[in-house]
Amino acid sequence: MIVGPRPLEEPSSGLAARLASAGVGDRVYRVAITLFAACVPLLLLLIAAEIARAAWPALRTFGFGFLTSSAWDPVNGAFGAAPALYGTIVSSIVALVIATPLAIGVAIYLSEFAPGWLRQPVSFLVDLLAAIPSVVYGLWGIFVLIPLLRTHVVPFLKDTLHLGATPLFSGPNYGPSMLAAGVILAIMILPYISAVAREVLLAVPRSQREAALALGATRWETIWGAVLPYARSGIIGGVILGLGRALGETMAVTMVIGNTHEISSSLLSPGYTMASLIANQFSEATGDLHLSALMAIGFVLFVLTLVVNALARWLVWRVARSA
Amino acid sequence: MATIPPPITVPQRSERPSVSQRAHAERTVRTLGRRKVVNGLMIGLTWAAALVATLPLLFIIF
Repeated sequence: MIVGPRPLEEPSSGLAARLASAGVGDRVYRVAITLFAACVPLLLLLIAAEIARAAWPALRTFGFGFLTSSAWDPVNGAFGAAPALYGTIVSSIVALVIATPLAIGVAIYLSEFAPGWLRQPVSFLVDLLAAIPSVVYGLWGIFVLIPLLRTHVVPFLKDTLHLGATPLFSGPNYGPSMLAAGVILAIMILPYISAVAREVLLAVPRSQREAALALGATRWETIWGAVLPYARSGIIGGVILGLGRALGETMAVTMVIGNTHEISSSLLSPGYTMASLIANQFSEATGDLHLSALMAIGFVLFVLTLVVNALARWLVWRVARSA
Repeated sequence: MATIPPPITVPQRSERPSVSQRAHAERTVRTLGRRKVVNGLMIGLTWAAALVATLPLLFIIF
């Protein structure tokens, strides 16, 4: 018996009902996931609004002078964020100066030169730095890094390199300092910059390298002249991502920076960051203005970190689009 | 009617290199040693960076 194709039938009422219910399900699903997606920016806006609301009394009282004043006197109600802002920016810059060349070097080595058997273990070890809790970094900073800086690194910088005459390394070093905070932050942001730079370098087309090598360039000239310019925006994005991480880091920095509310040009002096100031004083803040000043510092930190991270995302997106 | 493409003319290669070609070749020979040194140095630096980057974790663990 030959079985021919079944004639097209009118959809039965059961099938139509199923299709109709599926359409309703699709609509419900679409609305649900849209709501879920909207929750994230909504949460961000709510956080910003709440911090701004709590910070408003301090911002209204001190105005723009809040950002430029060095005063921090909870008894007399005088507050200024300048030392914390300065400490945050300086410790982050120190971290970037140390971590960026190191991270780019690691990324170049892993993407261009490392033999296959070594690539995975080294990548794993570097990436694992991101998994260490910041309090562990802080303890390591207190017990290992600060003594190392005090007994070996700082004497080398001051006596051997004669950098003690420069404002950056002038004055005594008692241990906790901006330099220690910068070094700790450098170790903490290293895996972030390295991971992004590695991915960006791996995304560079092979033809770029082959063209440079065909023209007689050495391997380093190939990287310097053909690979790095192509990956520049992405690497800068990674660096700014690391900067965003450094700006907001709290625990490890609080443990090694010395927590002194003053501005000093020397990296060997103790200082304060915005995050460590909030962490140290929030539980002890008694007056409304004191609490509001801490919230205002939080608001400044929030805006700063948001802008830096947005910039990083935009740069990485630009590279991904052009690749 | 299909048109016949014009014959491809290969430019005559001169017997002797031009002045600029000779200058390029001489510069390449002159700078080759330095370029090789820079190449080795920079590759070594990236290797050292990878080594230094793994040290903090080993210090923290051990």
